[in-house]
Parts: sequence; C-alpha cells; structure tokens
Amino acid sequence: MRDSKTAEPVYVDPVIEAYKPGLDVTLLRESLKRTPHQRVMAMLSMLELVEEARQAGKRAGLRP
Amino acid sequence: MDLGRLLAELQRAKVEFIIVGGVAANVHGSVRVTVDFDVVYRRTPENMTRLVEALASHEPYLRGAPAGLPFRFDLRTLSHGLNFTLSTALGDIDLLGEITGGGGYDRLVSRSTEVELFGLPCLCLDLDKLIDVKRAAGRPKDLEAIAELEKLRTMKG
Repeated sequence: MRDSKTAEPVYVDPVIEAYKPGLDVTLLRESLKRTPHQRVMAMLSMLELVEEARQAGKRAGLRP
Repeated sequence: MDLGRLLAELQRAKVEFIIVGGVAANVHGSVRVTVDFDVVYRRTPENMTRLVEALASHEPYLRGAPAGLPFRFDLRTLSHGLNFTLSTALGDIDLLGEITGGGGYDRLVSRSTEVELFGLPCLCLDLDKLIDVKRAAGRPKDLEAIAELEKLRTMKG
C-alpha cells in the first residue's frame, strides 16, 4: 500500500491511458478473485489452448 | 511450458531468483498469456553454480540459435554473460542478470513479494516495480500490458 503522504505522484502517460478503455475490466475483476497460483494456472490453461489451436492450424495446412 | 517443474528444479537447487515479466504480471492479476518464464537470478558464483545444477540436465540451449552450436550451460558461460534466453525441455526461460530500470537481484529483492506457486514459496517482483521496469524497457509491445497493470493497481486500491 502506498503512503499517501510520502509516495511520489504516479506518472500518468497519455499513451498508456489511450490503451485503458480497451481493457476488459470484467476479466481483471475475475482474475483478482483468484489466488496468485490460480491466476498462473489459468494462464497456463489458456497457453495450452493456444498451442492446441496452433497445432490444429498446422494439421489443417493453414500454418507453415 | 512446465512451469511447476521449472520452479521445483530451481527451488530444489536453492537458486535465488525473482520472477519478473509476464508470469509476474499474471501473479498480480494480468490475464495476458505469456510463453516464457523470466527470472532475475543472483549473480554470485554460488548461486550461478546452483542455477547450472538446476537446469543443466534439462537441455538448456540458446533459444532461436542454429542447432549444433558449442553452447555449454556451465558456470563459465554464466559468468561471462549476463542475460540468457534459453529453451529447455521444461519450456522457455529467460535468465536475467539485470533488467533495464531495475538492476540485479540485490537491488530488486526489496521490491519483491513472496507468493506461493505450485506449493512453493517464490519471490515475485511487486506490482509497482513491475510497471516501472516495463516502462523503462520502452518496448511498444508492452504498452497494453502496462495499461493493464496500472488498471490492476487502481482496482487493488
């Protein structure tokens, strides 16, 4: 937790701000309900799915 | 990527390391998928020896390099280099002696937090520092990731 009396003001970068409206806050809210381990496991499951899709694409001749 | 095995091997050999990069972002709540595992390792001879012991039997090789190079993952190689992007039989791992905007293990350890992954206690870069180092890296591909991390920081209060 930041100490509001001593912490430096957070730098607001307009380029970063431009990306924020595109974020899916619902997904982030769900993620924050999980433990760190559960978050990493969710990412690994998704990674597995992505890899399976890549392999399927290769098998179908859609990818080199 | 067999992250559980990678972590278990590093822990078994008592390697001192801090999780950074995409996996650290996931620890803090990011929902982005990452294909490699980035760690900052402590650059003492003892710790680098432990790192070699942890990974040497898992076919470490320079990721993306042509096959057949005389690469040896040993203390000499680690001592003469700094950052290594490796493929291993357990998945890709980036071994970083230092990171832009953050320095090495000894500087970052006070900016890390202990989390439990796969039942193992691990040090992970804290959210504020993770944002700082991603900003410092200045890579266009990180812009959306930084936005997400900042949003998470706001949501966590």
